[in-house]
Amino acid sequence: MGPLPSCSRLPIATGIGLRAAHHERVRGERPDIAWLEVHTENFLGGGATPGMLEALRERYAISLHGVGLSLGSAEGLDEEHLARIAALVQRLEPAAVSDHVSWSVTGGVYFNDLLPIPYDEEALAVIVRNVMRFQEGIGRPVMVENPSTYLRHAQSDRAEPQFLAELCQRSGCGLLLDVNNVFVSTENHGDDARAYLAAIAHLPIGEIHLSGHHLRQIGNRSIRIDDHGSPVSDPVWALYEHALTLIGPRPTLVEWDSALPPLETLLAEAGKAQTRLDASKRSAA
Amino acid sequence: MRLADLQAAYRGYLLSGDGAALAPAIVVDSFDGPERLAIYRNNFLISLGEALKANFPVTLQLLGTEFFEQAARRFVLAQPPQRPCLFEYGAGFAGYLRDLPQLATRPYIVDMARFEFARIAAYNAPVEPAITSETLIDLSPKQLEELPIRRARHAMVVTTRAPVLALWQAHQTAEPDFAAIDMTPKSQALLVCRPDQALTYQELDLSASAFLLAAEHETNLGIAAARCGATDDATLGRIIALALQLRLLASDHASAAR
Repeated sequence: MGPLPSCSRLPIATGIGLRAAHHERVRGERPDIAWLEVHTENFLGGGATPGMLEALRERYAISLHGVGLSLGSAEGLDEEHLARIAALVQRLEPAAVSDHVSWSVTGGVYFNDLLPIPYDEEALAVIVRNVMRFQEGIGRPVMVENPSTYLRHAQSDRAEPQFLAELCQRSGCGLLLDVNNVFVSTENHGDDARAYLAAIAHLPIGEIHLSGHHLRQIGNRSIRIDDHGSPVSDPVWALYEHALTLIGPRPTLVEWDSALPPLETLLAEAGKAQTRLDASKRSAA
Repeated sequence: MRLADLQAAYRGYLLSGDGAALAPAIVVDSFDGPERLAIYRNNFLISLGEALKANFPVTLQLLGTEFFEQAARRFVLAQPPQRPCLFEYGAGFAGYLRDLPQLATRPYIVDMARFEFARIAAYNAPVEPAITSETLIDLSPKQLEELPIRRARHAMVVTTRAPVLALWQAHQTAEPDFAAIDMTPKSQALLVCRPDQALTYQELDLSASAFLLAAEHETNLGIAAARCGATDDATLGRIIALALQLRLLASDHASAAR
């Protein structure tokens, strides 16, 4: 357990993912929550939305969470996209900047999905290079989020926690630990979620994500799908509590993207996380 | 497999559904490769279908969910995004709908898609310096005529023969009165623009629309005025006043013209 790494200037409290349907109410009512996270790509236009974030920044810490830079792309980063992110980072001076350990762009097509990369030496070298370019482009360290995965590549030669550790060590980035993703991936691959957490607990973790998922039946088998469309499940709450005991209190976000509930529901879910975070702070004191 | 080759194989699979080249790269356990890959293809198609629903909400209502989702799925596979931001996705959707035989008798839906994408484009257009009355005040007639102008990126002109604006506005109300909308085809040009923080809409007369269409790419004031057929100072003055009021004109070289 230790202090927040330099990649995160977020308050050690809970935040919510801010989505378009809640913009007006959050702007008008300023609910009692410590910080807000937005998807970076939704704010790269020049309209009113970046201005709205500027106004909210006076009340809330802001985290820019990218979903489209495609850090795992063999062809490297889209420099125009990176320049737009850099301009937004410069304008907002957010408390955190992050993206994913995944890829979504190849040959000029932007798939808008968090596609998996193999965990081998070549992919590691690619993503290290891209993360370093990302950090150089915006002039500050970033965090990368562990993905939900539904398959494994035959060519992978190391486990995901080891891959993440090498990525953080070689690039200097931090880890955004998505506890729901840990649960989804380990369940889908028959792994031990607590062993996963133990293997990454020493990494520079600057933020935690919590969200919902669902169980999809395929014949007589089932697979967990990360959909950010339901409350955090009981096993994920338990895993979150365990993560806090291993790594100490961390800024924690409740994400909800599909079937978006009323703002009150989202804030109540964040309240549940805050209760656990407060307990973790008391233990750490 | 090299990472670039693997990602090219994913691209082929996601766009075609043929996973033959990719399946051997996937570990088989309680699920086989195609079953696991299908989850990603499903996510890809659903997420972009949802993005199109968000960008074309009234088009969705006019088409109905089932038809829209089928059309969106085929559009996503035919014209996947080539830009990273979802608000930039769908420029070709109206054209795609136009070519569907089922919509041949309902061209107003195609025009609605064009209008809705114009709204998205106007809303997210970059902020750029506009020509203002201060820009013009000290210019001589010759300098005025030679003033470089370009239609600001937030200013979109939608030409249509359908009452698109009335239809769109009706869909913003809880109990739309569609019977009150005259669906008789009539040529019109709609201005969709974002002069400050909010979108605004208005119908343009022929001269004003011709002027703004002539200024889509950089030109000069004299040329745009000649092309719009404004034969008298009053008409041109009215167009310029509208442009100044709504910040419709940008100039990359305004100071050079002085």
